[in-house]
Amino acid sequence: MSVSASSNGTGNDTGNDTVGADIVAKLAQLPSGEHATILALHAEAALERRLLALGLRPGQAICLLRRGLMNGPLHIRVGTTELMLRRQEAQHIDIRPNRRPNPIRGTGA
Amino acid sequence: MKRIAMIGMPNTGKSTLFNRLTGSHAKVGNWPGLTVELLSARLPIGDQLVQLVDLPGIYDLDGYSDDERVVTRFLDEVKLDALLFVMNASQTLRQQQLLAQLLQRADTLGLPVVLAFNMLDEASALGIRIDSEAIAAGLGLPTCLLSAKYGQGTERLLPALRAALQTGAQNLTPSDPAGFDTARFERIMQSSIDVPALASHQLTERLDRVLLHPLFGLPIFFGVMFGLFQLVFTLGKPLQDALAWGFGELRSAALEPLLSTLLSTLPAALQSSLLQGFLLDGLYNGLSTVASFVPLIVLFFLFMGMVEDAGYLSRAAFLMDGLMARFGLDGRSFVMLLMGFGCNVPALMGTRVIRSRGLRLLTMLVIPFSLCSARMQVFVFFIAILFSPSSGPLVLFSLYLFGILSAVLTSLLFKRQLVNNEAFVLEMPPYRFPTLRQMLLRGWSEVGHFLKRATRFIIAGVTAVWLLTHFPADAAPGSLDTWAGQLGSLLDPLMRPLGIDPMLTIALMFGFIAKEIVIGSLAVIYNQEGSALSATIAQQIDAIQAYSFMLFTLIYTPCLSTVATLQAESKSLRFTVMAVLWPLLLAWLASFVFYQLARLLTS
Repeated sequence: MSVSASSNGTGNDTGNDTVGADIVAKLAQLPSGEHATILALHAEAALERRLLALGLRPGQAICLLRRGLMNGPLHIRVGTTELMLRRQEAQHIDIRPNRRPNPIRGTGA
Repeated sequence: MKRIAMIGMPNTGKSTLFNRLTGSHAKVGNWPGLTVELLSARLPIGDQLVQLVDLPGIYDLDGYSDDERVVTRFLDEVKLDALLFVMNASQTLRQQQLLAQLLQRADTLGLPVVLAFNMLDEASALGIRIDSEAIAAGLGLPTCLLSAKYGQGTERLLPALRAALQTGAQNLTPSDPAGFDTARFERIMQSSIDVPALASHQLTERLDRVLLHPLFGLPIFFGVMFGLFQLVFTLGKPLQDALAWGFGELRSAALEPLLSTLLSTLPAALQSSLLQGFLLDGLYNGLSTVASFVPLIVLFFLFMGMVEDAGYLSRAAFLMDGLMARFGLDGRSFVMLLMGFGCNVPALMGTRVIRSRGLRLLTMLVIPFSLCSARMQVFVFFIAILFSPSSGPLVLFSLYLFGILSAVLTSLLFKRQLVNNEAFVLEMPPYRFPTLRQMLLRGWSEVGHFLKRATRFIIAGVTAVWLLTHFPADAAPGSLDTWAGQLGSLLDPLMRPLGIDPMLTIALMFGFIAKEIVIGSLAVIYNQEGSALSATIAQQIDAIQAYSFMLFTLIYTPCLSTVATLQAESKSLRFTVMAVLWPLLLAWLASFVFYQLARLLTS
């Protein structure tokens, strides 16, 4: 089961040398301090419901604040909510990295 | 009596609101058919008493977790008169899905809903504005803005609840009788709630940059925890000593004369020093020993509650999760192990937040290896007798290490049986300043739980100790001729290879009830107290035997209260038996290897 955003106009951002700004990536690959937009979730039903309830919804802006030690969890902010999740959970989340700081829309948690 | 249930996501301050509304008169009760404990209290609304029930925080009404099933079944099976939905005012967008689900369910059940936006203080700090009147008018249900923590706006909630009870079901889907109009619901919510762009918690961000620092984060955390433990003992020890002294004075000044007067009124056949000995040496001494620990426990819970309410424990979980994952545990398991250093029992109860049964049981299996404050007392006592002052701290530190090592070994051995199938996705709440009121309420309720649980087992335990060391009647109390002594001799072939003699074996058997009893039972067994007892022990055993004894004490079952909690929380006799037998086996193996190796190397 998966949920995805209506991702029209994905491919035309300015180029990027690290994780391509116009390339669909996994949240687990996003560098610390970078912003991105959630495109889709590909988790099993129970986990997907949990992620949605925590505000990880397609179309939402997301920021990876830091990574934990020893392959530890990711510390992310989505809306006004901060979360930690393990890399394996972050593998289920497709994102589009933003080159510029993301103009987060006022859409709350 | 009418009944109202509180529903909301985790981390919406539901419990704080519950406490604010009901005071500290909450009761934990089992619900027929649900086999789960829920907090409830009576609340005067208008001229009637209403029962308010605090349901567990859930993310989804159609979810799969234990908590979510409990809430769904509660809504289906328990007769209710109204629902109180609690939302975190700073996280409305992601929490409104649950509200939409609940409104549809309430409509089917014919129940009125009252909506409370909690944590208004945090939402205002972020610049979030909520037009409660527009929501109330648009959705057709009473809506309150409040901050349960600071008591703002809570006074408006009771009239809203009363109105809801009077009017009954609100017909929440007026525009479309066939179903819930999701688009209309979202339109109303969006137009009534204004969240500024780039809303974030500034203070939290700055603090996290230091406290979650890749290099300094962990050292700072351990420094803070060490400081808190020190503070608990520096403040608590004098209080404990004072209480112990007070109980002793009470005994000699009031109880002993009173009891002999009372006994002298009984018929001669019932008069015996045995009864007085049982009541004073058995029951009173045992209970007062445990009661004297209350100051330490109160302080421990106050400080731990403070750290937890401040949001720091979830940071600890973040810092340690990477390492814990290798042992089949997670960041939360680490937090519980840490709490176990104070007392294992609340740490075991704290595992309730873990949803995966495998992970929860694995965490519960390793928590008893946390060297708790009661075991530390036994070690301090033995180290003072048999080790030099300079090596003492090192010996104690090595025991902490062996405790951690046992936990790691156990989790590595059992992680394939107790598999963690839970995704690790946790909220990291902003840092918060706990209020004094919150801390005291919490400390008070935790101590109540501790005393209720402890007294039951301590009474049974001290009665058993006393009987075993005083019967058969012709044996000298505490000698090898008593039942306890015979049992010690019986186990001798098993314990001699560890360097543990029958006397110490008896002490270990009593230590099964509570580690606090170990030193006391040695006093009974050797029939000596204070420095005389120390001198006798120093003559009877050497440092190697003492260390072997301490290793065994460290690893085997900490106390009956822990066993009772293991059973109450796991609800599985098989697991409880395993959680008692495995540490016993590990304790025997560790002591055996240590003692034989040490003897081999020193001979």
